[in-house]
Amino acid sequence: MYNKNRCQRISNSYYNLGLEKARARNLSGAIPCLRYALQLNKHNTSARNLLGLIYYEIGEVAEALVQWVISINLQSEENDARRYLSLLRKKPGQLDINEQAIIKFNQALSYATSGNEDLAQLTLTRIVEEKPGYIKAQLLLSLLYMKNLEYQRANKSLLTILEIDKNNSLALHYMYLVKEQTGRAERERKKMADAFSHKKMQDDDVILPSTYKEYTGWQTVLNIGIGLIIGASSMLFLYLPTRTAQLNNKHNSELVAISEKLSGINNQNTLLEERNEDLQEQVNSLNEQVGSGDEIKKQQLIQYQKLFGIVQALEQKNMTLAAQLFSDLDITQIQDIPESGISIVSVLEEVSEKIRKEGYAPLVHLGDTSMAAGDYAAAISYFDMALRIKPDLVEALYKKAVAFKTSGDEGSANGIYQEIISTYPQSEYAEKSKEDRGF
Amino acid sequence: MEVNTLINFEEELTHFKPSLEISEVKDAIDKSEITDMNDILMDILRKEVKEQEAKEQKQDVQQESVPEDIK
Repeated sequence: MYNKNRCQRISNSYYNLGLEKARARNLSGAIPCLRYALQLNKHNTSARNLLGLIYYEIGEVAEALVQWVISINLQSEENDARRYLSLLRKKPGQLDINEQAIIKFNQALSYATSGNEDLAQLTLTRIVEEKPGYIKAQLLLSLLYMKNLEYQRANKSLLTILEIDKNNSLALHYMYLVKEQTGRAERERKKMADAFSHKKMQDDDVILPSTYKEYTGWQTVLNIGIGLIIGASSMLFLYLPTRTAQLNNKHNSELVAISEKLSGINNQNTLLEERNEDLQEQVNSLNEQVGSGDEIKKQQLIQYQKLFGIVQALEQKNMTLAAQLFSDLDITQIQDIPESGISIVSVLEEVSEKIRKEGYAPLVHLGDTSMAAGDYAAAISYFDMALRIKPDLVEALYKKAVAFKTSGDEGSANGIYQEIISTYPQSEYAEKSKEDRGF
Repeated sequence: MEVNTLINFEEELTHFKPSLEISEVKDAIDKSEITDMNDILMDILRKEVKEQEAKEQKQDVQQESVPEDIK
């Protein structure tokens, strides 16, 4: 009894190991474990059912059926093997396909053994097209491919096997051979050597990336040169055109702004020039006005001085000088200045009245004297003064004409004679004028 | 390196055994050895018990055949 329990426990352990391997898709590793489990305890139904499942998975359907049937025989109730068998029966033709595949594989193996390898390869190719999970067929096919040096095809078959059964020792062995022949083994060894290091890492160790390379001096110089060239090229082809365009845009906008400003300034300048011309005209006008004003004031002052001289001459009883000054006096310039408090106009009127009565006579006398002395120009001047004091003084006018005639200027003299005859026809000088003219 | 130097095709072929066909399942079940360790142990025990019993019977027979005076 003790031995029986012990065998069951060991059987279960092997089953667990087999299950673990099956889950990891190490099917070829799981099969011996499960077989050990069944050798220790033939009633280990789980181990037997799993063994059947693994056989089914690798294409050995008959082996699977054997295990499941035995399992049901040993445990007829609550057995998963019954379900597996019913699933197989439910799929019509599935069992036939599997049977045909197995029969064909056995034939192909027979062909290969008898040296008819081409036929074996052809048969196996058809089998794996229908049942790619048939491990034995794939293995034999890959062996035939390898014999014919078709390593790519062998590799494909082996990969299919290893997807189903990762630790299939024969498939791994063939894969190794394929890699050796194609050079992949060497590449993978190198890769692995790069990937793993057996040296214990220290705290200050630095892991250098595989792309890192130590450069010699000239390589460094070359790299720097290439970098500079790339930098310069990027500057030339990327940065400079953009910068130039930016500067051009900036300059254009500045130019437009300056042009607008210049236009504004020109307009202002034109306006200022026009205004300057207007102001200049105003200045000239004002200067002219100022000049004329000065002249007027000067003339006024002269007239006031003459008036002062007339008054002074009258006070000194010198009528001749007073009359001479009065004859040149412009009485229109004499005006009252209210701030002075003195009426100069009234003085002028008083003086005028007196000189107009008495002042022309001395002047006519001076004219006669000058005539007598032969100074006709002075005589004419005196007669003009007398006429300015008393314009209707015909005597002075006649004597002036005589002076002109005597001096030889008969034209001027005739004009004056004619004026006397027409203006003063009743006067005695009109008759004389006619006589002097020869009428 | 040629594959032929690495692989002996004929030898490799010996690794391949024919698959069990479905038509052979019944025979395979019949012929299958489903004896486990427990069966073997029980068989051994049974044999030992039988041998022991046989020895005891033999000793009893010998004792009965011994003369009275010797006893």
